[in-house]
Amino acid sequence: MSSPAISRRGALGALWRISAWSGAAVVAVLSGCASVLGRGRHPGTAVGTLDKLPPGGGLRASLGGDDSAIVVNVDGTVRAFRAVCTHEGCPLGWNAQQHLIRCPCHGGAYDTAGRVVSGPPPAPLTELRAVVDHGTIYVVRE
Amino acid sequence: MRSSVARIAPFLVVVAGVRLAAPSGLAAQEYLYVGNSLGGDISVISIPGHKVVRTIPESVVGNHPDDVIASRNGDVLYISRLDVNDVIAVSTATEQMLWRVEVPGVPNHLTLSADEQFLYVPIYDKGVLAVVDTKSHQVVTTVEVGKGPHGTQLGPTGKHLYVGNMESNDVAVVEVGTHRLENRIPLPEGVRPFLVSRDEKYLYAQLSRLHGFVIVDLTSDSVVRTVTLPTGGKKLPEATLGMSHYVMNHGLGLSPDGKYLVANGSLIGLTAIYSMPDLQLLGTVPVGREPNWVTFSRDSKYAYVSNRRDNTLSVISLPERKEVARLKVGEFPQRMTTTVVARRPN
Repeated sequence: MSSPAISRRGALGALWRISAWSGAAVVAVLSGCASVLGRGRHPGTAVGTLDKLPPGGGLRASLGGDDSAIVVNVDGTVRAFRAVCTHEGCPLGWNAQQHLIRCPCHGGAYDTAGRVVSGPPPAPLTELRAVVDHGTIYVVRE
Repeated sequence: MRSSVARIAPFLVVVAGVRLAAPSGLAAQEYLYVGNSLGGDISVISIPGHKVVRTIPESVVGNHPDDVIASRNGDVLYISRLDVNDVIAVSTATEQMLWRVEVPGVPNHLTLSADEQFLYVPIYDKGVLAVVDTKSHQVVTTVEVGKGPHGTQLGPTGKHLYVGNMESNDVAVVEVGTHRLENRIPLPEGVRPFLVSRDEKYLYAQLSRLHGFVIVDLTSDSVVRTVTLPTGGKKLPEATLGMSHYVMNHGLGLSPDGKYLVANGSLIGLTAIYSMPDLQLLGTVPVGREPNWVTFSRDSKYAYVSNRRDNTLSVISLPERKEVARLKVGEFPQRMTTTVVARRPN
């Protein structure tokens, strides 16, 4: 008659283990969901990591197709601009020495707030939403 | 357009002789130098092998190069740089900078004087032509030429320099001997790439919003004909900022032998080939995206077209009127030049 008692203990132990594993699995799944949902809040394009973009830095990143962005870190705040010159639509580049966004067609220059500094551009740059999540920079095309 | 050869057609015989004689025991070879404006470097392509053999790096060039032209003996490249308002001279033998000169604003498309003493630099944002002495490396004078000076062409006699103005819609004519403005020829639109006929009677110009080019009679200073470029069965796209919509076409050239005029249809990715001087359309060649410039091999067998939106170069056989190669070059290739070089780095 010991068997049933052992069985009960075994069953309880098994139940506890199942519960524990299930709990862990639920936590893992929810965690994954949270991560996915977190990303879902900024459905942008990952363009790099913050550790590669220190304050004062800038980069040009593809957003897919012909779209690209200039991403800058201004005193710890990451900003992004559509990398299209408002003069004639040429793609823009980042000049790291000048800390300026520059046009390779007619020499237009923009500062890190997207404002025209010099040259023929008639208007400032279009700003895009930049989000930093766990060190990854996302740019949202809107 | 504007291979160093094409720009100095009257001097070709002398130049060719000098070029072939110049190498001291080494075989001179022709190369194409392609300025990659976003990449900040220069792709070096062998002719007629059509291989990218080297890249002059960003550490030498950088700062968004706008134009690259060559001295007639092929020793020196002159490169205008948009970000830093200067022109640099780079040795083709070492591919290192020889000297630089600051200019008073944003420099665009360059031309050398016939004797190479002066380098003409249109300053887009200041409305002037800067004249650089290539010996002293100084700006010796500036000439007010109009708004948005963009392209320059030396007339075949070497006595007149033509400057295309993008914003004042005209072509300024500067007397080379005195560096004085002689004339301004009004055109209906912003002036983009243009060339001058060998007899200096006509000027062919692409205009900002024309899918084609106009022919200007230089004796009457008037447009005598408008040539509409074919579309190759394609619909011209709607204007958007993403497609450089203020320039329908960019790239116009006359082959060194004078037989072909080649014109890019930039928004629809084709190049049209015309016979000269009768301007009969010989054919169209599909090329890459947003063709920007045309230049030629010295023997006029090949036209080269830089496709700036897909970072490629189209090699077009002119007799066959077809693209025979498409090469990957650097980022945003625009202006380029061919020249014969005696010695290059190993």
